[in-house]
Amino acid sequence: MGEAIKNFFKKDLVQYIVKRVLMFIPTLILISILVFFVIQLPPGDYVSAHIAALATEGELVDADYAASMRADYGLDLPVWQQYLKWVKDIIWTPTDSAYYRLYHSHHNWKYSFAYGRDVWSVVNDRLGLTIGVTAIIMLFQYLVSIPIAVYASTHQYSVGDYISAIIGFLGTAIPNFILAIVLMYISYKWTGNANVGLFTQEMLQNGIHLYNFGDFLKRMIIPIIVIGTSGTCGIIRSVRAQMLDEVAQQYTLTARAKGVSEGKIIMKYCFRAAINPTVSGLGGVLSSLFSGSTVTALVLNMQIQGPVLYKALQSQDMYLAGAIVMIQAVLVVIGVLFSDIALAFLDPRIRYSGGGR
Amino acid sequence: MAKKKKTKEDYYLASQWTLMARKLRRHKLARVSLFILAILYLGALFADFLAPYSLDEFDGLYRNSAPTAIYTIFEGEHVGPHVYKLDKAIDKKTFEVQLEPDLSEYYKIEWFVHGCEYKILGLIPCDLHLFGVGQGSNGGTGAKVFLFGADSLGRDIFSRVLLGARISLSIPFASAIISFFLGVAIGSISGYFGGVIDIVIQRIIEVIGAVPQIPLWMALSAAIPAGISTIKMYFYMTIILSFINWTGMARVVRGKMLSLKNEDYVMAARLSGVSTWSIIWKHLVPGFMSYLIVSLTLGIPGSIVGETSMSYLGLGIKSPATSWGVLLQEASSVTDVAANPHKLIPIIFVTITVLAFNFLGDGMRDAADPYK
Amino acid sequence: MRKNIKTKALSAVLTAAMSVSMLTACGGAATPANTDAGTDTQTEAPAQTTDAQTDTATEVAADPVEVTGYQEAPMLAEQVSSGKLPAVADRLPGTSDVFVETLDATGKPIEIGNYGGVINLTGAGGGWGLSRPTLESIIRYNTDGSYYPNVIKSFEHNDDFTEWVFHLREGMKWSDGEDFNADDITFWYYMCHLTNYDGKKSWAALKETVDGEDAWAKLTKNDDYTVTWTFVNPKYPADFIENGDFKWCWAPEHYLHDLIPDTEEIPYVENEYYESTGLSEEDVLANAQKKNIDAATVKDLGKAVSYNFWNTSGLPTLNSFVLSTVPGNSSKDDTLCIMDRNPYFWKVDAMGNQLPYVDALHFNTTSEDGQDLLMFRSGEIDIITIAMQDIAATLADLGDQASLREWGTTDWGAYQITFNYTNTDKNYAELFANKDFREAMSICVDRSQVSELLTDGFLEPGQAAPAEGNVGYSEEWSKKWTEYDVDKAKSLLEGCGLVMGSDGFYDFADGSDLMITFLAYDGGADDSYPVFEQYYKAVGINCALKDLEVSAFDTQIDNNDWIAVMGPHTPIGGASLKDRAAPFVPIAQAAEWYGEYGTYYSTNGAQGVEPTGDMVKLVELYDKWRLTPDEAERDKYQEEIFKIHEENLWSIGYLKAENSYELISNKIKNYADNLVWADCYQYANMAHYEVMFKAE
Repeated sequence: MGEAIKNFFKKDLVQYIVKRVLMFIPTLILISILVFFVIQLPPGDYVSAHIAALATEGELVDADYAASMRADYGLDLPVWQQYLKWVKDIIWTPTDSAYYRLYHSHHNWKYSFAYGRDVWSVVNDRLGLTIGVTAIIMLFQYLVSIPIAVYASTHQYSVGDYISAIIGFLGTAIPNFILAIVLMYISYKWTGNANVGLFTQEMLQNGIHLYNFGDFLKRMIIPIIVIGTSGTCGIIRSVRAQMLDEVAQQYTLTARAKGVSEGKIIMKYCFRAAINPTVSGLGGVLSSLFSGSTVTALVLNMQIQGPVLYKALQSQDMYLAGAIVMIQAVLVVIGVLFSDIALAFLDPRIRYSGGGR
Repeated sequence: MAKKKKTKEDYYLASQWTLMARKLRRHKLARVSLFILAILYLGALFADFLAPYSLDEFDGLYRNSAPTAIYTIFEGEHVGPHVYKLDKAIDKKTFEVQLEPDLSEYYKIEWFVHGCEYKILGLIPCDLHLFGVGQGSNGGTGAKVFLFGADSLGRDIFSRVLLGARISLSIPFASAIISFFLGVAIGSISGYFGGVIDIVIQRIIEVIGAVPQIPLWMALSAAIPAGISTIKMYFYMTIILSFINWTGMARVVRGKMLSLKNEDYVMAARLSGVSTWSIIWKHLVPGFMSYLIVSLTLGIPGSIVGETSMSYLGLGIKSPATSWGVLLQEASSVTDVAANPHKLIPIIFVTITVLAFNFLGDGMRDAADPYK
Repeated sequence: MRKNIKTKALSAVLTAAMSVSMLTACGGAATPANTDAGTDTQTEAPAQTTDAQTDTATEVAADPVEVTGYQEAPMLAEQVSSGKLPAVADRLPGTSDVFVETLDATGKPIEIGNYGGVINLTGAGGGWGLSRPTLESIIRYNTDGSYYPNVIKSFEHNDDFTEWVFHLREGMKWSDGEDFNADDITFWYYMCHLTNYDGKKSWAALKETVDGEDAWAKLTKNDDYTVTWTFVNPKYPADFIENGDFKWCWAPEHYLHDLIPDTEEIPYVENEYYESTGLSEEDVLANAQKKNIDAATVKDLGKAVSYNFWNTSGLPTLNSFVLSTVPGNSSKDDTLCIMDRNPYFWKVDAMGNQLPYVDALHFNTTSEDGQDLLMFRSGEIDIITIAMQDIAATLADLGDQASLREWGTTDWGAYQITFNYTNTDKNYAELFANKDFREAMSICVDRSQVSELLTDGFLEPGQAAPAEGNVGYSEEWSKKWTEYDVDKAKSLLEGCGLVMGSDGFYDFADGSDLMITFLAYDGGADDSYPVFEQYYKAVGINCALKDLEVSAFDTQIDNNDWIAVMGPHTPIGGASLKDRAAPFVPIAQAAEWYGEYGTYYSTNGAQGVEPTGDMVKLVELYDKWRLTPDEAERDKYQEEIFKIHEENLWSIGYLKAENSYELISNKIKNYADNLVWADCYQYANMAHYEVMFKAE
């Protein structure tokens, strides 16, 4: 590769990256609008939801108090004004504001009404865990699905191909929520412990340390089976298809003709086949793990972001819901951005076609 | 020899579809899947006839009863397949319910019995059912046969699975077709015209794809007026699922459009004055139709599972209307898993259907590959 | 048999509680050690002691237990020896002021327990969840409706009920070791309550009407351990000490003094005990932040520290257990929320052992129903509230490791429907006003089939009426309109002027469609609606179900935009008027069965619909009931109100009310059976968690 070509690619790549990053801004604006209106769409607001919850406990709230609560929270303003204020405060809260004096932060994500706390502190509570659990599950997915895909593609239409495909797809085919309940009950029947939630009481008091990490992994078994297997299907399919493509390519045939061992060929093309969908699917994987596992996380009582979001949406705790949805959406877009850039780096053709997605 | 030659000629002359169908035959699992799906769809089509009971035949006696045991021998005598009525005893202290067969008389299982009325294919009124329970040997009535047991209102789960298949098998199909047209239309516009239109559409796709599904479901479900008829609910569910699913299709179409629009034949068509829409629909889309059909097939299982999740969250179809999602949602309590495992039978149907669609899609993908 | 005893007890005693004029009350289960010393508090047995249980209760109560010294939990003894905590004798009131707990709420003696261990509970949902097992209130009730002073040592009033005196326990401490005395009461009243900092200035207990205007009691501190509430008009027990809202009248002055603002919205109220703090909203929120209390507005803060105070970590209380301050376990929203024993708790058992027995209560928050059932099976949860249909399966898995506790109910029947009598569409309003229509809707349902279908026959057919054994029970009422009769229902409907349409459903006389759309919330009617729908449609009533999320449901009710409700949010009736009047009479914007009529009363006629006919009678009787000093007369008014309900059946019930059930691990001791699940008894509070212990 000549120096000139190298430079050309680099310049081209920079241009592409700049273009993609600039596109990120309108996307962000659109997302924030969509998010705000999506969470506002169900009828009522937090105050009405809160009053209904109080009524269930037998406490009655008069209309005046409700109105003053609405005024305090700014829920009496028109929706577009609420939206602008929300966005403005997230982007920049001035130093002389009450919020800054209390929290010393310029980014006011507002309060979670239900938790009575700063939204960011609620989100922050589960952020690390969500990322950790997601990472473990992703790892599992790749560890399981790549061997299955490689086997399936090298033994196309064999009994083994079919069996491995059935196993790989089973997780997708059984609805997660019911699989989760059944597994918890089976776990109770076999071990006497239903393994509800990610932590034992002891961990919830003392935190996770080396001595109880084994228990934690035990608790991860059901989530891994349920959420992990539900994602393997997609990976198996794309890796298998890529592998089949590669195997049919001229250079593979050549390599084989030259006497390169089958194992080596597979290792090499398997890697190449796996890397592409992994990179290009980053955004999709992030999104499906964040929101795709919400129902399962609810059923398994997992202390990750999904259930918090679900409850916030239910109780119309709009700023909390808004923050989580916004963060997730932005993460997904960033994931797509990165994968596009990475793909552009790997495959120059994409740059000309204006992005693979 | 002549025959062989003919086959070869056939091969070269065969349309793309014929080729696909041929290759599909090689994927055994796909063939089996196609067969299974055909049975399931036929079953759904004639569900009224196959199901011994309707969706609103409640029976307190059979509440939560396990699959009805079928006997052939009554008091040492072979009388053919028959069932017994149940006897229920409750213990008000422990809240236990005991259901025992009442062995005093037997009820024969009969073919082609008259039961609740329905319309064959929605047209011809009829009250014939494939099988059912006749009168008791002593003239008693009230015995029932529940192949998969009964639910918490004493309805036949077998019948509900069959009747629920109508919704569960058709909503995803209908929504896949809607998202197909949306996706093709929007994706083509985006890919063919490019420029500002492309950028805007790309952003919209990106945004809808980025927002998690649950808030979208909840928001869209909230927009469904409550207390509407099953038909309307069905319509709304289809719209919701397709609204979320069209973006994937649009992306595929756009990508294909980008790579094909500068081909010579498109240029030629354009120069000879063919309208843009004609170019898109007549010249470009058919070029990658097989890919679209594959994505379409692979999109259906996702919608089936999506429908069950929505039911679980209480956002979808509601009883007495029945879908598989409703059945699973009803079975999803710990008590049912522990005491009434027969309620989990509908899982088998969901799982088989989803698997079948996946394998069919895979087979079609392999078949659509022009390099093979 | 067991059931019989319970209902009888409940009956005898609720009536007793209502009809007896109590000078001061101190009977029942637990016995403050000083009953015979000090003030003029007397033990007065309920008038109708027709039941064995009540007899026992009175007997034991009359023979108070004296303790001579105190023992404490090993974990506290450890802290004492390391110098972190004062000695037990210095933490508790003296033996004459300490509360000696000897009986449970049903009057049975409690076992002397052992210290240690943790009771695992399910998550504490809502604002009140953590308070139920831990809150110590002014008085406490027994299942028979009798009550005794709890936090306060005793109370008394003058002959015309205008002055009420509260005596406190000398040496009693807040959970942080500060003295609890009269200043905490004056602080609460003048700085938290009258400023409306707690958002509850509308409490009826301390409010009266003087010259047509709202007026509030005057509170005087007599000495460090005595305060007096003074009213202009007589303040009768039912409106004061027995009022369900009036559970506490104290706040920790030493902790809250810098959290009270003086702003336009929460202005300082002139009093002789405290000066204005002069703090702005922002000051107060910043001060709260320093105490790790996060709040969006001062209103939220006020509610958090002076109303739902058990939910605020770090805030001293008088309760048996206090919220942990360990991050991650210190909020009701945490997956594991911990409430530790209050080291200064002021109750002891008959042997002088400081309560509570267990070290902590652990609240395990779960995200979905059913997880608690699994955790109960695993042994991770010791006590759960359980639905009837889950009991058998759970016990089948656990064998003799668990047992059932039944709680009586004060509900008026299960599977209720009601109609919008103030519907803006005249057709509907007139139809619903016709009693024949309601009768038709009631008798068109085969209750025994419904009972079988929905409950396996466990809940018997019934009507929306007080359960047998409760106040107001009448056999006639509970059987009214329960005879299944389709033909009669049809003829009644035709008698209402309805005309059979071509679609097989009745239309209004003017030809417009009659369509009963039942509102329900949070899926509550999803399971049962299909059953009822069949019956309604069979007599020609076209209907539909519209399930909404609860807040949307409430909004639609408030907007008067509804026709009928299946499973009302505020069902008709309850224990008695005294417990809570709003479900009995149209006086608030609360229950569905009177809709806009209630708004009319609560806004003094400014909004809503003016009630007519029997609805007016209810309001009139309620006002008479409220303003009479004579108990016998009050009972008479209440009886009349019940009679009107029996006459009208504004809500129709189809089955008898369901009791509440809890399953407990067999390790848990001192959990009484046959308690009463009611708001006036604060639900689980009646189980007295401070005396529960875990057998080794």
